[in-house]
Amino acid sequence: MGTREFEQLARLESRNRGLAELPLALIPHPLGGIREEEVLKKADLAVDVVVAAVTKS
Amino acid sequence: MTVSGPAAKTFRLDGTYAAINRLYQERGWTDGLPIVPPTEDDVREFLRFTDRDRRDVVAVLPPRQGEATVERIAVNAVMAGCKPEYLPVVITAIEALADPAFNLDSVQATTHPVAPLMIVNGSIARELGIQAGYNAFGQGFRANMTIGRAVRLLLMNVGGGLPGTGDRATQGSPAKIAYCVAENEAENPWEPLHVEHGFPADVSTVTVMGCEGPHNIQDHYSYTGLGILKIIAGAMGQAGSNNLLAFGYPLLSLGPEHAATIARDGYTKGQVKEFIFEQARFPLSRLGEEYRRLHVERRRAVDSPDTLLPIVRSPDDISVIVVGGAGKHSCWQPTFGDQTAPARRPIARKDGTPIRSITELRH
Repeated sequence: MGTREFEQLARLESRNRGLAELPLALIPHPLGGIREEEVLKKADLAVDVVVAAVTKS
Repeated sequence: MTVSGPAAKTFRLDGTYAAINRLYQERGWTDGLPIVPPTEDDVREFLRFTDRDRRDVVAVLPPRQGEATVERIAVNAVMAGCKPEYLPVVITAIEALADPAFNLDSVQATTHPVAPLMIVNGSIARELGIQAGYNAFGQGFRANMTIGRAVRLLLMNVGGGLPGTGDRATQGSPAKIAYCVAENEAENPWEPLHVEHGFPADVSTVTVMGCEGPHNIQDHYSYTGLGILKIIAGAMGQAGSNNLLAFGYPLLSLGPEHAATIARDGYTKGQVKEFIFEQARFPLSRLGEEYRRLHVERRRAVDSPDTLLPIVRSPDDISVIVVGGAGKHSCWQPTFGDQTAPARRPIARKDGTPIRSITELRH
């Protein structure tokens, strides 16, 4: 799980470790330095992207 | 067992020095500076200073998981402008960077401006002219500049630590260009770093630490060890470092004059560390509200106006070296919090036997 800003790095790392198909749950950047209501909004969003990532066939 | 990696690819390029450098720039094979073209003859000359096979894999470097073979290390050392006899130091540094405790994965990819600082101890540092005195962290010394640069080129060209992709440093740091120094053992009133960690004095070592650039600590006024230590502790107990956030293993690089005054007043190196552990602290009450809550809710800090936050878990987590020439300056290097720990290797033959002189490896 990470933010879209770091998608390229995450894909590079997973591919180079032989896990090219590793599902990534990506949410909007940033994770740090945000207010609590934004954290909750991102957490809600994260539920959907995690479900989508782990159920992707 | 040593793993054998692929042979380096060779290609023929007819052109001027400028044309060759243009090609290296276009292909992203350099740190931005011009390189020394790594010809087969030059690489062969470098390989005379190791008893390893040219295809031996010294380390696998993330995030690309590139195999740092002896040959690839030599190629990048040529490109960096090293002398052939520097090769064993570069190989040893790469070995140390692969120590799991160093956590090169995170050091390469993080947004933090961490750079691998190489501290060379022992007679080989002097033999190669690795500067330990005046301006040792600065410019002017081929060994410091090119050994540091060779390691950076390897982290980019083999490890794939390229700005914006494999290396996500928000701002980076000049320390990421070249960061290599020798300890000033001649003016160290205590045991040098490698001896403190159990190596015989006549063995040479490379210590790698995931550090920020040097933060200067000026004290021209104190004439007691206690006075200097209070200023040092004040500088190190600062907001904003990863050590205040998450402890780790920070480095204090004492200038020899500060070190002499501190030692004259009876402090051992261990007592210096104890003093810093106790005194290099930042008041919880002076942090911003969000940061204060982080420490209270997630780091178990006592929510009191009197709470002082330490930068390490234990005095032993602080490293102390002596570096530099005359003058009333020291510096400290905050590290990448507890995401990295120092790693150390002797400069040795392939079978692990330490060498006393680089000439022992020449063939």
